Amino acid sequence: MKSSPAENGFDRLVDAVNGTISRELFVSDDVHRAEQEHLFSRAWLFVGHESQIPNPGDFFTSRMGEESVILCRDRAHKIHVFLNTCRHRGMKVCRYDEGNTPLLTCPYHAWSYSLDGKLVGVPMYNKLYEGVLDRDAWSLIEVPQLANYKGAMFATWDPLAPPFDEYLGGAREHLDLVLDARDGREGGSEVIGGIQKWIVPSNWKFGTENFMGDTYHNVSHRSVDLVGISPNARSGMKGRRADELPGTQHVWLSYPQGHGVHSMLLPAENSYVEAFRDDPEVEAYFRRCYEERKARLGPERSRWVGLVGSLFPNLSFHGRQPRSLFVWHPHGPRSMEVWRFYLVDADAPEVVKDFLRHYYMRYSGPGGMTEQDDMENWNYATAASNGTIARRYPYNYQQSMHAGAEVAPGTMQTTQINEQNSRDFYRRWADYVGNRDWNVLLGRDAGVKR
Amino acid sequence: MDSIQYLERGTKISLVGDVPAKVEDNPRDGAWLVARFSHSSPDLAATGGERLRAANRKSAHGLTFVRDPQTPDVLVIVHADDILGVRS
Repeated sequence: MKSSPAENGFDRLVDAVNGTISRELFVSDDVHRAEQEHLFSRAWLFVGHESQIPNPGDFFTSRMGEESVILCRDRAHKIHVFLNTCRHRGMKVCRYDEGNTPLLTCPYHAWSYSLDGKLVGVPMYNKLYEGVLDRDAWSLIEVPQLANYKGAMFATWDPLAPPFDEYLGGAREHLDLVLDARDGREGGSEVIGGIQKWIVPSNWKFGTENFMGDTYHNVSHRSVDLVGISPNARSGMKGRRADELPGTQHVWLSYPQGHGVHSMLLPAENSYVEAFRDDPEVEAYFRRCYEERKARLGPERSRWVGLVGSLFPNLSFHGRQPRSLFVWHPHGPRSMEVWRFYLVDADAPEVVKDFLRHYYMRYSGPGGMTEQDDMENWNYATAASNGTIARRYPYNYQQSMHAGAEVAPGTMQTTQINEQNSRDFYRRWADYVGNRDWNVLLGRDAGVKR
Repeated sequence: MDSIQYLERGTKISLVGDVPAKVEDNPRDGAWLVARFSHSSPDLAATGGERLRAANRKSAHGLTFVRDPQTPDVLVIVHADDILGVRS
């Protein structure tokens, strides 16, 4: 009799000690169902950026796991996240990607809700429902916890989830490298342009894992480096990292909450490296930002530069350029919907924003040259892992197995290319789908066992 | 009313019960809009509440009243059927 992953126990699928991960994680329907039930219903999830809804009545339709949610700002300027489903028959009350409205009206029977979620309009209420329907009890379903971290909005369906700050833990410093202004001021970023959304025939975890610092796959992007798409390309510096200072130390960190980041530490003696030679005005802006950041943060803190990272479970980021947040939404076990949010300094000159917008499109998204390489890998990896025979053989995660050092309880640091971050991510993943409690999920008791 | 979708913000309208109001927000969904009832104007200050309650009793759909956090006015969420017409 064929056994399912659920029957086997999810722990058996992740052998972080020996460095193997079952292919079932990337193709199985049982795994997918367990993720929806125990992981996406509890973890803090990114739902959008405050800058997308600046005015009362603004809304942005987002997702939490596979479910549609509405991020909106009510008349009193308070931000909410609601499940996008009418309490009457479940139809989506909002079918637009974004916009402004005083009411969310269900197209089915026209039950209507104000932007604070209250049921305010029921057709023929006085004749059909008076004395029976308590409108106050039938508001839109709202997340029990919502956090605004430097404009990035996070929500969880679990009322018992820890505060977002604790969930974020030490990864905070590296998320700051994305969200803070380029001159070192806290926050100050905004989403530019629309959100790029596209579906990739691949499991969502490929994306999360890739952006925990898999620089081992650089061969995939060789064509990009040869063609040259960087903001220095016309000036002859084609490689994506050709502007890296000698002596720069790359650092990979995995956190007990399941997050993993890859940042770099500039040499103690560092100076501005021209990275936008193709446009003198943009170059001048970033040179000024570099100097101001150094003065604001001091010589030590300013050495940190964010490259990439993933917050558990499905938010990843680019810290430098193309500076962005991206979400890997599950779309069935063998498909995901990728959303890219591009960030700029809110008060940057328009010429800088426009230059970056073009660069971002050239680099990322469904038409971006680098992203296309990744999608091809994940696409074929998923397809090739789905067969009966293929599923019997696990993936290898043994890279730099013993190279890491525990620098804080449950926090591992590695200074060479490694799969430590991925191993720790999947170990924590198994705890979530196994429905363990928050003490385990946060590594409060024993950190990450190794 | 043929359609409420074309009512712009600021348009003067009459609600069921002949209550005067102005269009505050129109989501253009064809079913509901938000009207502003200037409860604080001198001629309505005394009778405004009673007029709204009477209008609610006449409405098949029911009116929903929301205090405007910025002003003393009342915002009325009103169904298309309960908009009698446009006032000049």
